[in-house]
Amino acid sequence: MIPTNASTPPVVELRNIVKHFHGGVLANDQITIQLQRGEILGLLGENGAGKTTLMNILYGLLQPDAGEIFVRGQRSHFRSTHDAIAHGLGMVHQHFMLVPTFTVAENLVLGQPSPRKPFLENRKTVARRISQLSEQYGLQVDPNAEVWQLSVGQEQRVEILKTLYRGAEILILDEPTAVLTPQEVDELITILRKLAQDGRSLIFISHKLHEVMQICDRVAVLRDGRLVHTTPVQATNPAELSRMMVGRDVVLRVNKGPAKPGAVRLRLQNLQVRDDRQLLALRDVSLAVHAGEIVGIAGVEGNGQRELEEAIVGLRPVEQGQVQLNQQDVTNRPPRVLFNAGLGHVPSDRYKTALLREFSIAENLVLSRIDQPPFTQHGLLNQPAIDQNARTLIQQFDIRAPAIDTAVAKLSGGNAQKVVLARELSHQPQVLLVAQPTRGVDVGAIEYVHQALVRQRDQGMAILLISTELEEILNLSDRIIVLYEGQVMGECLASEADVQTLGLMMAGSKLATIANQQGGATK
Amino acid sequence: MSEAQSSGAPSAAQATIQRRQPRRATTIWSLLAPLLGALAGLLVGAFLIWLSGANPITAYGVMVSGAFGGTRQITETLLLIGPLLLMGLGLTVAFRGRVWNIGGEGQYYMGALAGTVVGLFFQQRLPGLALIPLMLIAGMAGGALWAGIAALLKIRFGVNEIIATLMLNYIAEYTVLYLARVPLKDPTSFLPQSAQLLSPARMPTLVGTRIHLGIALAFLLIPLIYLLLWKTPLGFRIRAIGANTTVAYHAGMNVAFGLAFALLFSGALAGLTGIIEVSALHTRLKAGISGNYGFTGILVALLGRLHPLGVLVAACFFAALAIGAQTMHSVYGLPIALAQVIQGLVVLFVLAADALARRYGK
Amino acid sequence: MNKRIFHWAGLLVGLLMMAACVQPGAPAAEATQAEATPAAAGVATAPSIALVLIGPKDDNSWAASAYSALEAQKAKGAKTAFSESVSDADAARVMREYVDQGFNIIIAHSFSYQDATFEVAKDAPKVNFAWAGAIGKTDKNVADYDQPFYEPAYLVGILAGYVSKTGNLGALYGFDIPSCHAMGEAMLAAAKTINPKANLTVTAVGDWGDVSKAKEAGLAQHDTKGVDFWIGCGEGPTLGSIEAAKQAGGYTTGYVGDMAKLGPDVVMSSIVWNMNPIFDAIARDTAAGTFSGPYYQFGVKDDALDVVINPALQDKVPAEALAAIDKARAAIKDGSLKVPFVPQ
Repeated sequence: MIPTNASTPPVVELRNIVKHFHGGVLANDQITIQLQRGEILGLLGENGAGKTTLMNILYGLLQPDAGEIFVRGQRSHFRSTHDAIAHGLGMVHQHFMLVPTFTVAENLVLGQPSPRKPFLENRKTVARRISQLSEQYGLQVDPNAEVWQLSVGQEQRVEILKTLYRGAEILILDEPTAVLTPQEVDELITILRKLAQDGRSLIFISHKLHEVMQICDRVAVLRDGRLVHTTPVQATNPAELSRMMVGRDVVLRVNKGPAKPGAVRLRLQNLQVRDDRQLLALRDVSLAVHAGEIVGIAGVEGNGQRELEEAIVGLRPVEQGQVQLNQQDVTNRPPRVLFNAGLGHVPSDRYKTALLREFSIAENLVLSRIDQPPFTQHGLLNQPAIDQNARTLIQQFDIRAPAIDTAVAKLSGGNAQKVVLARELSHQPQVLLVAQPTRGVDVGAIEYVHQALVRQRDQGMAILLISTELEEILNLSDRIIVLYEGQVMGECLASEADVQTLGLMMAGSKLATIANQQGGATK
Repeated sequence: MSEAQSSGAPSAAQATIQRRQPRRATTIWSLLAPLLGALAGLLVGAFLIWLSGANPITAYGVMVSGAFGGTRQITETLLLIGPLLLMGLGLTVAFRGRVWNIGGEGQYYMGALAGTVVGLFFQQRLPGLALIPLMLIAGMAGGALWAGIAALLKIRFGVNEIIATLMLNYIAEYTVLYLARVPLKDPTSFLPQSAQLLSPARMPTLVGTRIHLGIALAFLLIPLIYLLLWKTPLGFRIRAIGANTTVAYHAGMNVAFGLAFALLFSGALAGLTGIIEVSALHTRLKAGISGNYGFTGILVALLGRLHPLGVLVAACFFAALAIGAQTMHSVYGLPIALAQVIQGLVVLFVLAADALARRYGK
Repeated sequence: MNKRIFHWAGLLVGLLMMAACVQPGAPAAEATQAEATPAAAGVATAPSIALVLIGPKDDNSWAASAYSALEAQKAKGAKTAFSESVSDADAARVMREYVDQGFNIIIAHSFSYQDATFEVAKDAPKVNFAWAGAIGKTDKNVADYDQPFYEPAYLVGILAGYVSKTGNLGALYGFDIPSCHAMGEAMLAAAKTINPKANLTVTAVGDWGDVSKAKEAGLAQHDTKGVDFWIGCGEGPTLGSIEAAKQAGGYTTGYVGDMAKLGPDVVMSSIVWNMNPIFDAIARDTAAGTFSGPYYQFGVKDDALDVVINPALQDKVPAEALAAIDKARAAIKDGSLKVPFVPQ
């Protein structure tokens, strides 16, 4: 699409790659991408857009169902990573593949054929090559340090060194900044630039807009397994990219009347929360959700949504600020207290927090109330009541399952989500926190879930909806709050929201600033 | 082709039918596989016996008759099933909650200690009817307390229970042996062992047999453990914690309590095993009162698929195999090393077949 | 898949090699005869003897002493069987098995078999038992047999008096139990008759089987007290003393078996236990129907215990030492010398 130097073929070309997974998920749909020599190509997309699948195909970890791979103009077929490495590819995974008790040097020669078989390569030779490579690209690490002593940033350098040591010309970096501190990110960017200047080609997988803008020469946006757009970064801007990432075709419209907000049910005050790396993930977040309204939290993935969700339900400590349910302070209280205070939760990752895979549908439907009547009577489980509850809810929520004692693991994503929704709604909570409610859910179930949420709103439930799908936010919410890097960028009524403004906010502009600029322009 | 598939989303009903699986076939296979494994192990064992110059058929005949050949043999087998069953049932509860209690051995020693001390102290003053329950309770308390140390370390300080329980084994063993040798030493004897439990402190036996109360208790616990795990909210919680701790916590369950209960309960049953074995068999504290039940119990529980009935089957299997192998050596004169290798082989093959069946039996 | 098959094949080959190494101990076919022949009192038939061992029969020590006595009975025509490495928990069951098999003598060769022996004996009044208590505890059909290792330890003490350069002797016990304690004291008493300045350093290792711990204790005795001549009580302590002597220099003593092979340069002498007198007595008393729970006490004077000198170190032993040992042995035998027994 972007014609470059026509005489030299691209270093890598992927043509019409198709990949299906079990259960009919189309992870890659006719994707064609080219990578030029000395170029950094950004691969941008939400979780589940198909970035990692595509790169695993390129690296020989997965076999495509259809399509071709060309390396330096030659058609190549990678049966395994060994083939890919032999063709000069290298991949730095999100989770490092290093042996903690080995030294850096030992990790580098691990799995490498030694020139001195059956003995290992000479330590000094290895050390020399390492220091040569580290100096050349600024990848400072001590070859004799054991890996467990290194920081995460240093471990990543070892991973990069490993690919270079094996002679990689083409480097794939899978979300390399996800685990790094801001300072380490800056150092990484310098390193990547040097590598590109040296004629190596890089693919940089990310869902962080500003990093892609900063690092890459060109960017390819994937959505739902399709290539949406490829463009040089100079020719685009964060707002456009964010729209391309999240802009979904309008499949459904939910019919809903205007909200009739009542009293405040959920209030967050100046919330401050850290992520797994102990960096601030939420800064000074305040919001309120009233009875009878749906408040949508919009934003590009990775801007504090997960931390917000976990902080509200008590799975992540709140450092500062308060969470109030019905005027009751429930900050840092265990889930049982929140449950009793009237909180329901449909989480973003249902198998991590909401469902027991090996347990039956019936058991999952009574998980929170197993020790209460009628499910427990005289100290013993009351199986008929548990079964009856399941039958009622399965019918009420249209859960498609062979039997009530079917293990939840055997359900489709949509039906599993309905099980969670059914259970949470059966507790009749006053506040419902819903995160990514339609992720991995089939179209029919999406519609059902959306309608169920609106129905609950009309009956007076206060609903906080966290979603990275803008369309879903626009469809369901009464008010929209945009989250960017853990901060609230602004808030607007859904009826007055326009996609342009939301896109700018999701890319890091405050609503107030945008309003000023637009005001100035019209004058 | 991708168009045809992606154009119409398959209806949920269709998908449901596809997901229905022939359940029964799985079950039959999973029951058959360990049997086939045992058979394979015995076949390899037969080859080894033949290599050593003996007759495999005669040897196996002796093995079977050693475990089941008569009233005495069946009694012996039952007497060995008892402790394996008790230990396996306790560990079943712990493992269901995914609490890896490797410290059955130490809890066994501590239960034996607590129960024996009570027995020695009261045997002159109390009748058996009052003393035996007291000893059993003391034994359970001793085992539970010892497991409680690991529970405290896990819940308060996040210490891995595998390491904690394993290390506590050594502390318990050496503590009990020291106490038996020095402060509790039988004053009337030169030998490094405690005084002997007298008849009121000995497990009452079924009239005319050597089957004692402990064996009856072990069998009685089979339905009780089933009830606990599958018919009470507590058991449900333990299983839920074992299936996914985060989900259980998020559903409002008291995870710390569940973990502690699972660990303490298995400790209590290990302690009970300890005092029963000492009261019925060893009659005093000394070196060698351990039958390694803390470790064999782990295999019994896992091979029994963490189900009380499965544990019973596994306990029978281990008891018969151990006694049979011992008889092959004692009676038939097979070298002890070979008898032990055959015992190990059969266990290994059964475990391997079981693992394979679970993996491919779907 | 191929790999997995490969692993299994490897495992199988390994097991076959193990089996090939395990020498078949000639399956005692006669022992499988199921008919029980109760030991009819007074009938002078060849006895049938079953032996229960706590360790392996070829341990060069405790178990081997009993096993060779059993072999001697077999050579005389007795029907025999044995079980090795029987834990305390299994001992009663194994003995009951032998009762069922019709053996009329069962020898439980460990003091830890005490309770099992008396329990089974009560249920099998027609079978005669013996256990290694060495405390004189007997029953109508249970004999005990003494192990006066302190007597040969006295002879070792004479050797120590001559050979030890420092006069500092060391004793390593599993635990400081009476029979061990008496060994050290007897050795010291004898050494003092040669070298009045001789003294004894005692360490109770706390384990009967831990060789490395015993070795450390032995080395510590050498480093702090200048010990250069050891005696061990228990297998682990003795093997540990051999290792310590190899490393630090000096000599040590084999325990209840000729251990010269284990340390040709350091095991100067060994206490050897000939259990034939015990086995003979049990067989005789059983055949005669006169068995009534005796306490068999056989020592140096009955040739049940003695000291043997390692031939490889013969030239290091002064002639007068050998003469003194011979003299002392003769004195014990004729009753003119009574070795002091100091149990605590």
